[in-house]
Amino acid sequence: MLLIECPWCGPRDESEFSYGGEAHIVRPPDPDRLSDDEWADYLFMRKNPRGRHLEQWCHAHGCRQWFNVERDTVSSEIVRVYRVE
Amino acid sequence: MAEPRRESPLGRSPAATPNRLIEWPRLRVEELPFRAILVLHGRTGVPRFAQGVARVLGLPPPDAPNTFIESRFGPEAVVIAWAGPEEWLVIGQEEGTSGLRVALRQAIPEADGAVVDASSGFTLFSLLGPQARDLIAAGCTIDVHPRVFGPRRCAHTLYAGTGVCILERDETPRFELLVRRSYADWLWRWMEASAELLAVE
Repeated sequence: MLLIECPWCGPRDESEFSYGGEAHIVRPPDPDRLSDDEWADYLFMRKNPRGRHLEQWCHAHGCRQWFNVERDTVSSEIVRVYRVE
Repeated sequence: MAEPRRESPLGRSPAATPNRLIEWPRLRVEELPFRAILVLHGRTGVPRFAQGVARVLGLPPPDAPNTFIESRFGPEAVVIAWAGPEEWLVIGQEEGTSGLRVALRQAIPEADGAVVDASSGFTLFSLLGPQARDLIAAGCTIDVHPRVFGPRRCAHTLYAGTGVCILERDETPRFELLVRRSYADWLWRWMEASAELLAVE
């Protein structure tokens, strides 16, 4: 079980959070100009690194805020927690 | 036609004792039904919001996460509990009869905040006595030890598998648990079973 440091509430049990996948994915400003491949890349293709991963978490059963977490996918060590600006 | 009447969320629970009270020498649990429960949205950095709330409740909403303040609305005791960076719960005494919602709606300009009456969506439980802290600790993963938690601290968390807001009202200790009404029966049964285990210890 992970202990996740919510930027507002402090350390809380993993069971209070929901996982939101990879962070920092930006919607293309003009989807109509993209090829199918580019659009599919935006929609579906995600990094799956062995090691450091930037991901989104939501404190679903607490303050209900979304924030970013840098986590090691091998050890599950949480390296950094930071707010969405 | 039958007269409409109020029924508490625990009212039809076959599990609850008729007086809806768990009473052990060192623990007392009861439902505090029909409280006014409002959800308040806004930003304390916006003066029209913070001052509007302060005009009605005497104080602006607390900025510190997981804390609550006690104040008054006229003669009525009111709690304002942090629920998120821009969200608070206002818990008053009596649902419907007090003008709390109306007064807050009038004091906060529509563009600067929102007040939603959630009274009938929740019910409140009071846990009182030396073992109240043990009963709280038995159901959740947050640390409620007095050196970490304490009076005027609150936490939105999972308790006995359901989402609650836990408030420590004083160091008796006296806690209050705010829970969605459909979970009142479940939570009551859970607390009754757990309190029995604590009493045996």
